[in-house]
Amino acid sequence: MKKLRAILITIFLGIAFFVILKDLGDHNNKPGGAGEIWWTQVPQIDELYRKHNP
Amino acid sequence: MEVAKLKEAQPQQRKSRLSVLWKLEDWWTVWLGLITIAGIIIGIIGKPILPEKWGEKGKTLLASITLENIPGILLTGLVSLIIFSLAVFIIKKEELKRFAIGFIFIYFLAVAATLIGNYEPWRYYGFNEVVWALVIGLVVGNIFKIPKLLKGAIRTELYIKTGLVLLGASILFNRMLALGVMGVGMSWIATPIVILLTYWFSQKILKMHNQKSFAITIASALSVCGVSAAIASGTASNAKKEDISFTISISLIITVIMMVGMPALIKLVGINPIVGGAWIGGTVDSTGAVVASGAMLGEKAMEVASLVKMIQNILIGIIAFVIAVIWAVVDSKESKPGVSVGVKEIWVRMPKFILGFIGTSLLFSFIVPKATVDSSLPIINGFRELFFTFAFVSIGLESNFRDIKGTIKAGKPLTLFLVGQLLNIVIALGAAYIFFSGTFFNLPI
Repeated sequence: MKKLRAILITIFLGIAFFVILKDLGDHNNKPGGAGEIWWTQVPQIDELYRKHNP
Repeated sequence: MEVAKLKEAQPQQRKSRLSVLWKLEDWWTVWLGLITIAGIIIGIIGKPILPEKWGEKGKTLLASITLENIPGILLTGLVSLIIFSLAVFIIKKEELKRFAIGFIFIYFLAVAATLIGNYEPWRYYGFNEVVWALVIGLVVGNIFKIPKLLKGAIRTELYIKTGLVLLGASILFNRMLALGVMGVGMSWIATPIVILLTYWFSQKILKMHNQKSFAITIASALSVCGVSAAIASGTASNAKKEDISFTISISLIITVIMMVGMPALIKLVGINPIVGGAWIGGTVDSTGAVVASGAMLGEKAMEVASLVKMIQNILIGIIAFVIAVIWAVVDSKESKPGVSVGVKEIWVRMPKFILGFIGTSLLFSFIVPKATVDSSLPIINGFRELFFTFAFVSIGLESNFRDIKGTIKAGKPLTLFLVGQLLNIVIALGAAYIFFSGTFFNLPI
């Protein structure tokens, strides 16, 4: 069980590092990002509200 | 844990009814939150100046801290010091000097965390000021022996709860209703089901009977909105600070994978982008990651994903309140087995910051004029981020590498997070199809 857990953690960390290193999220061309944890930090959310409630 | 809670509740019962309002730190988190908000609305407190974002569009590290913003950064520190000193002075004025000296140290670390956290290429993948505050706090606290004088401002509860009262101001129920019934249906039906099933799994299958607060923190984080939900529900259930940190760390790793993996999977399987957007909104933890992930499927998908996540963001207000009440009831019952629990007992044990948290939410949703909400929220949010950064610097300084290693080794929390997230993915897909495929309801967008 311990071995399985260690393998699982390694796999998840490995995938996360791969995503970051290869910039699979294309950070230059996409809005937002995982660092913005709350809606007030993401202008697109406010824009959406204003679009539907002019 | 129960013993600690009892100890916490006893002094409150001993104090006179009214003096608890200005002698208890828990109440002060409400007052400080309200004072900060009032200062911002009146115009006494301006936008906090901190190191700016850098690493993109030719902005180097030197553009983040300039000669122009250094006075503002220092002033922001002074304003924060004054705000928290008010509580420390009235609760126990002998501690003020030690607090003020220690606060300079905490503020310095928080500015460093903000500086690194604002490096945009990493921030995009979740490494924001909160994460760096924890890392810096952990490294400093575990490598160096911190002098007693500098420890005076390590007050995690004070910072985190005041930050949560400020967070309440951006839980706008009126906006949620304006955004559409479909999102409400998806977020408010699927999310509570995931929370309940995940919690059930933790107790019945994993037998996490001594880690109930940890379990509800994980369940809320994975089903609502990651970091913010972990902070709000973890604080409401009186979870250990290491447990909140662990939940945030796992949430960060899973978010990075899902932010990129979900749109790829949706494209691969050929799911309708609107349904896919709703699925992303219901499963990816961080709000910013939801927008980025939705954008990978197109404009419409991003809109639907944002809508679902925004409504989920609002749900955390109610979830944290319900958790606080349930935990107060369970706590009272456990301390007096066989005796019926009265409202007074529950009131005494309930964390008071939750009243400020819900109060500011209702105030900003239904009473404060829209123009004032629009002008004050960015400033309130700036201070909220800063106060959370203080909290996570403090958590890092207080935590021990060995305790965290122990949590990871124990395995059950990790299993719970993964099983809960899997459950969330399945249930959210069903809900996304029901509410956003157009088969059962007309689409809002």
